[in-house]
Amino acid sequence: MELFGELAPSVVVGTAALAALYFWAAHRLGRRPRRRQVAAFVCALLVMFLALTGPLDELEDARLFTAHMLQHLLLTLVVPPLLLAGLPDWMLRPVMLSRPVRPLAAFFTKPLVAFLSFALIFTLAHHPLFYDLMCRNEAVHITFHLLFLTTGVMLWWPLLSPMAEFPRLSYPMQILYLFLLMIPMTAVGAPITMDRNVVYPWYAEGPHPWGISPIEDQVLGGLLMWVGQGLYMICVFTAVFRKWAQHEDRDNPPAERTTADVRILRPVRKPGV
Amino acid sequence: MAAQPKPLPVEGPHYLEGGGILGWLTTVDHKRVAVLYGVTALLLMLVGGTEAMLIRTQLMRPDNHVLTAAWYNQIFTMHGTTMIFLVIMPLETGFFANFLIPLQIGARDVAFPRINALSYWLFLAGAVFMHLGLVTHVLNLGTVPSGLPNAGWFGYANLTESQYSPGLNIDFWDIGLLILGVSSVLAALNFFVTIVNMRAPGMTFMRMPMFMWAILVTTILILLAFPALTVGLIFLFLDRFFGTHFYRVTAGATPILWQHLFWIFGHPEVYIMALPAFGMISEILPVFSRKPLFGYPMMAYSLVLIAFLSYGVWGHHMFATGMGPIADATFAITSMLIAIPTGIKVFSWIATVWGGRLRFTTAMLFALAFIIEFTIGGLSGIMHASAPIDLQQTDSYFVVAHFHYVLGGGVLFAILGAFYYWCPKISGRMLDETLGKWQFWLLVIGFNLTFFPMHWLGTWGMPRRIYTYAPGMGWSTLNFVETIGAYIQAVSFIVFFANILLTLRRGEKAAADPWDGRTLEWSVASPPPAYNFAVLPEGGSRDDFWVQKYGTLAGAHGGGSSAAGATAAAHAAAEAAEHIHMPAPSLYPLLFALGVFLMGVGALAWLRIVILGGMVVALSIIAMAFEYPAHGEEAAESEPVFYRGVDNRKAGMWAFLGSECVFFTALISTYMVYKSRNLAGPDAQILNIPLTSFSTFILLMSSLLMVLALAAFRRGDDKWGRIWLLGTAGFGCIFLGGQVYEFTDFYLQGLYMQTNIFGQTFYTLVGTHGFHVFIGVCWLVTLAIAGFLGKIDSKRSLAVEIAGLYWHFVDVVWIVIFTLVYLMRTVKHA
Repeated sequence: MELFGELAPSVVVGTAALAALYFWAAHRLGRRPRRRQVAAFVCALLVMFLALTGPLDELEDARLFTAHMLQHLLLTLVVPPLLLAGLPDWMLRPVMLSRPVRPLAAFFTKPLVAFLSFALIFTLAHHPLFYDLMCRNEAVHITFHLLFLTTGVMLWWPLLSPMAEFPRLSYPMQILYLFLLMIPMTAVGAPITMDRNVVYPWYAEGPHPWGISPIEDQVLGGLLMWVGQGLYMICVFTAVFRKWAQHEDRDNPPAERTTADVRILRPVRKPGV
Repeated sequence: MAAQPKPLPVEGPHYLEGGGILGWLTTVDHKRVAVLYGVTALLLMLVGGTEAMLIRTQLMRPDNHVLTAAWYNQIFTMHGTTMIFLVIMPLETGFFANFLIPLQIGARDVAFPRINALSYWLFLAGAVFMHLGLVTHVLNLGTVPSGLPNAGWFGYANLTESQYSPGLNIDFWDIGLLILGVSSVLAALNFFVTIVNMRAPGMTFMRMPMFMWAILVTTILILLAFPALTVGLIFLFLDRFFGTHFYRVTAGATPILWQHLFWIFGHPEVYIMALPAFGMISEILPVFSRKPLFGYPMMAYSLVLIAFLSYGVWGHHMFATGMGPIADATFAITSMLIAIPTGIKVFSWIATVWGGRLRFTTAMLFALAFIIEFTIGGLSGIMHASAPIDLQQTDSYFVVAHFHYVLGGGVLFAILGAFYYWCPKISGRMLDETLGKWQFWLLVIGFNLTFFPMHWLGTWGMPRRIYTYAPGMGWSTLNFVETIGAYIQAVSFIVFFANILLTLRRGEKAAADPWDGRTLEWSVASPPPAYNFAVLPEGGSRDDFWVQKYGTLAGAHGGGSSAAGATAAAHAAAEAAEHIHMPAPSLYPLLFALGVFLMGVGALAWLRIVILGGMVVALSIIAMAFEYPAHGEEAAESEPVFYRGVDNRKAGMWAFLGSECVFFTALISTYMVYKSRNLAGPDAQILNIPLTSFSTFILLMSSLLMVLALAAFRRGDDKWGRIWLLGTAGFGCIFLGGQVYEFTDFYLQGLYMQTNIFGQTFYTLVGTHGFHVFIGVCWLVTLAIAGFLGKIDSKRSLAVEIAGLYWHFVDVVWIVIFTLVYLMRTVKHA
């Protein structure tokens, strides 16, 4: 098995085009994205590139289910948030607010629509019927990857929207949103992990790399999608909660410390006394 | 500058006064409903405790025969079921949370007062129903043997199948739990909306009392966990009453379907019981330490994190089923992760107490003991999380020790602490501290004497759920010691009940703020007036009442209860009784629950009673819907209550639909797992795709009509609104007609529910969805009739909007079902 085969031309072209578009747009609009945003955008492209071509792609073609699941998770859970973090609002506005796009953008960034679209695409993609088609037909495969990226961006929009016109959810709703996301993710990951048979015929048909049996591979891949994804989401949730607590404390400083409280570290002096 | 505590002196009737028996039966006041819950749950605690004493007496000596094996099975099953579903949950959510939510967040009542009453009456109906087996057994009614449920509190199928449990025992358990599930979900929905929507204006989430945080997270857990249990119970019901094979391995069913469904519910259930206890402790410790709660944001964070994790750990109850090493390892890791948020809590509690000015009241003693006992239970929990160790401990007394430390030493201690802490507020009288301390020390000694030796017994191999054991096993001494411990606990509880009775008779009258409390419930009189707050509080800081009393370090007063404010409030209180409009009492919740009870009884006795019960239920729903003229109105004109964001009813519908998502996910997952397990007979190839595509199209179009109907009502075009509504209902009827045709067709082709695995899962899934459509059609027709009577105008379009939410949801579910069941019907034979 060759880990560094040829680069997939579609991926190289796509990534390059996205990068070119980003810097062209910045140049055209005469503004410079913040350094953090550029870094995020470059990271997004880098992760996308590594997910779609190179060793991971080779392993996936060599019928390693786990590699394929890792690829899907990168495309849906890592690339989209990085993309959104990398896009400044002024760069999006001319496109998103243009006459044909605006109503569509307003509809597809609605949390419920975004959530359901993502859940539908993600569930369908892992149904044996479509999954097998995806493995056998490169065009279907590319289509699904593009769908993952687009619905992924939609999914993350309510959490990371850069534009006030299509705003983020409030923090508690963001947490509920993440919580509900566990339902489709578990519904996809758990049955694959628990199944005693090879779910996708594609993996039973050919040789498997490194002498892993298809069923072991399937359990590992299923777990990656179910538990790995869950742990990732917990990290996201932690970040959201932290932002929430800080935000509320900053906007309305809590006045919970009072003179009547016992203080143990050092006596606190009243200001102005 | 520390102002003296200045609780508002509110003269006038408090919530317990007046009304008579009928007043209690029709009450919708959250405080009265809470008291009903509390009294019922305390009585059931006596029942569950007596069962525990019977168990311990039987196990006192080897070869003992106080109970027969059959009775022992019933007693330990009911001990577990009673303590979990009928004592701990109702005491925490039904009693304390119900009483305290509006008082702590500064509201006058819960979001849906009648649903609150309904939850209680359903709870009572379920509790009574569970115990009916005893009546039928004693009176020797019926032709089938019966008795109390006897398959353990987690009632593993296929042990509960009629083949192995032929008596009515399991039927009482199954239907009783279904009723209790409805009650819990309704209560959770109610409390969720109340906390989210009705907090005082200044009370952001990060300023809520920690108990409110705990209850908020608990309600979400209930909403998203109970549907899985409901699905499992419905399958069991179908198996036992209609001869399906959901749990019958000989017909191809998987032997662990029940375990998956039960523990997906069951592990969150552990936190449904534990989180409110965490909340109670987090209220008691700061008050008696005279310090704010340490690490408030982290405390809230860890609550939510526990909720997150609790859905990913159910497999640790199933290590012994042989899920395979990788799944075991995963569940082991996720289970161990729970130690992190729990550890955060324990350390924060310790830090809260650290250096404080402690007052060792009984409540404080229970709270401190909670930390220790719960940590012991948590440590053995980490042991279970490791799959290889758990395989040694499964079904041994080690497990019994573990969950009694968590639920008894943990949760129950917290509940008792909460009794001593909040009883003054609830009853207006102080529980006796001397008796309380007697009770505390007796309980600590008795509890540890009973349950600590179980760790050893378990390691020495004593299995749980055996009704007796042989003399030479080396277990006799410790079992004797444990029973002595249990008797000491019994004495402790006698002291507790005596304390309550004495208090109610002639306890010391409680001031409004007897403990120098920190949260808003202490700012009103004890017991509170029916309307809770004469002037709704602002709630501008954490520990709002504390800030009101003592000001902040910066000198500013928090909530605006300065001297002038207090006078104004007193004035307002004088006029409050006349001006504050509280929800009117209603008899229908009671009737509704009665109908449900009749349906349960009818299912076991005489089918015609089911129809009678169903009619009572339907009539109560309709009566409730039209009881208030304001039905569906956007917001009453002079509503003094503060709402955030969306209307309560809409928020309630969203919460309900969230719960429904889990319900359908469980059903669909079962279908997906079962469709390839067919042994014989027709399978998914029988499905008629063209016909169903047509009805799918019709259903989608009906959603469009629904949108048009809402738009019409909103712009005040009643006529077209009614037309579109009827059109939606008509399309729904066409869909249902298609389904009736489809089912008849399959039936004629020989596919019955009982035929095979495919038949039962298909009919259950699609039929359940059809039932939802049917309910939707009834709803729409009712709305259309109301429209013809001129009761729906643009001001009341909310009623249409809520029905529309439901209708669209049902359509979306159908798209998923149509895709997964019909379009992807390829059958893979393993």
